[in-house]
Amino acid sequence: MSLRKGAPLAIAALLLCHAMVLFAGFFAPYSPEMQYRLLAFAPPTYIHFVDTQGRLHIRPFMYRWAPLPGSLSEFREDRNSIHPVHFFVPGGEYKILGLFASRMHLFGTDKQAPVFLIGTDAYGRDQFSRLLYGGRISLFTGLLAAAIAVALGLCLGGIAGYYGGLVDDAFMRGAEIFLAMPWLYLLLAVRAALPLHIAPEQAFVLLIAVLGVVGWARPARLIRGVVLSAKQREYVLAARGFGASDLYILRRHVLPQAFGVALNQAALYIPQFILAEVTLSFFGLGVSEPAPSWGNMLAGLQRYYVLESCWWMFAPAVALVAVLLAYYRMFSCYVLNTPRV
Amino acid sequence: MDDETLSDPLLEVRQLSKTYVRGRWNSSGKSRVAALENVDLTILPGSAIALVGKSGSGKSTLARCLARLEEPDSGEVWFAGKDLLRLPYGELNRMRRGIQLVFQHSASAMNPRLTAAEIVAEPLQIQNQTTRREQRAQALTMMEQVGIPRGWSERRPLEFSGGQRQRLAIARALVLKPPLLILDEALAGLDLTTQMRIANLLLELRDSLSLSYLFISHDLQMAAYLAGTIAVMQLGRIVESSTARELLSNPRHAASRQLVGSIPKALACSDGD
Repeated sequence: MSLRKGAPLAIAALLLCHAMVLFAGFFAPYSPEMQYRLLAFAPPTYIHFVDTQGRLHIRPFMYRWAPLPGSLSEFREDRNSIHPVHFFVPGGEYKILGLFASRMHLFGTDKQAPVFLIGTDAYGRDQFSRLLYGGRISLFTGLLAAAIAVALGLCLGGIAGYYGGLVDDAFMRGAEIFLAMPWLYLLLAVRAALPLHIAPEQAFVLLIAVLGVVGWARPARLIRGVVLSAKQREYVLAARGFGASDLYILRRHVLPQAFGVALNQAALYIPQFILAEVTLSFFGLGVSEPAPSWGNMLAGLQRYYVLESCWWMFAPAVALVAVLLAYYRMFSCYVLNTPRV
Repeated sequence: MDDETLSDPLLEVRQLSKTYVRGRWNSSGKSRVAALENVDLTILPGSAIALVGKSGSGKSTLARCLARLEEPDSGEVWFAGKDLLRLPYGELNRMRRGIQLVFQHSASAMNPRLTAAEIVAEPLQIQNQTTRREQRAQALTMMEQVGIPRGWSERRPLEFSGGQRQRLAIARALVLKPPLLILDEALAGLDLTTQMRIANLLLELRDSLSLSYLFISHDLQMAAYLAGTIAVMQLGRIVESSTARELLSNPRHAASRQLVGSIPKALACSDGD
């Protein structure tokens, strides 16, 4: 019972996270490519309610970051003027789900004082906006690649287990080849075969394809085992005696058992593939600049200066840990520990 | 018993043979086991025949070949005027309704995820008869007929006792209204009281639904109680076939003598008239 604790919270957090990422245009105040050149490595903006005269404001406000004299990378708050934070403000144009154009943003300030909830990067781009847009690539790589791997595993493992014999042997030898394949080097080889600069969309598809296609073997083997044992049950024999077709038996008696295993595999794969994307992009093999992904955002940390003095640059790592924890929490409550009779 | 009535046989098996080949598709040394050798068997409408024999004598293989769950190597199975072994696939699946099988292990013969009503309705669903609602209604009626209350229709098979589950299995086998029911060790593993109750249920159903039975068992006494004719199998052959009374009092073949000789003596005396 205690295992189920925290699961609703994890699900709510994941739903919110995915919604924010999907509707990044609305939740992010700026476009991920928008640069504030004079505000490189600006720390997170402080949100105030009390001004210098000690008056309480109902509407939150902020002060503008001003570079310290003689420095480009150290800032202090310019307290001469307050800049209120407004909600549901018009701003830069974006497309909702890539379909409808909109200018509405959840929050924003005036042009002279941009708000940076988690600071800016080396080019003065808003980290919070980039985190949301980058989450699209990172989170959906995991989801889609896991979906492909498990769907392939379900089909191929199901066929191998159900038909057995030569088909089974052929499929399982194939699976062994894929299990033995070092996917990182395969990805390197595929990447090397393509032009140096590929569009972010192409990189995204490539990542999903490689992770998904290489990942089918493990779920396939597990599902084959389940199908193999399920098809020898007497109730399958009984159904055959009533005149059931292969399709009926697969649908009604065999695959429902395999779904549990498939879900388990997906549960393990989604966080693993999210992490794989982050790792690859960190090394510059995934989605490349200027498109953000959590991996290439973290790549900024490869510079010692950033590592040492810009703590806000770790934000994608914090987000990553939170998302992975939420995924594991949810799955261990609802998939791994659910007795499936 | 009405075994002696003159009518066309319901089921006629001629020279049925089945050899099991062990080994994978690519293994060189495959072992062969002859499970059935030239078996002949006739079942008249409304009659009950028991098939007895030691484990491994081919009883279950015969049952599975008749229900076409196994593919016999050669021979003929005439049922309702058609040779089941030479039917096209689609027609075979329709003809299957006529011969139903009840398995020994009721627990593994039912998908544990489905409810009792779903399990009993499954044959109707597979044969795609009538609407879902009607299928369920028929299933519930059949469950009542075998003594399972309507209120239990949403329980899962593992929530039933062994005897209740076997009743459920019988309901499932009968829901397509087959003329022939094969019971493959269907009473084995149940306590004696339950065995007796189900045996009586089977006799009642035989009268009310005009069923024929092929009752497979290694319990000679139960076989004699349920069936007029008993066939003894040994090593894939039917070695003796006679009326229950005659087999019990005067077994001719060595295998039959061995079976009759292994009935516990106290019971044998009380049953020997």
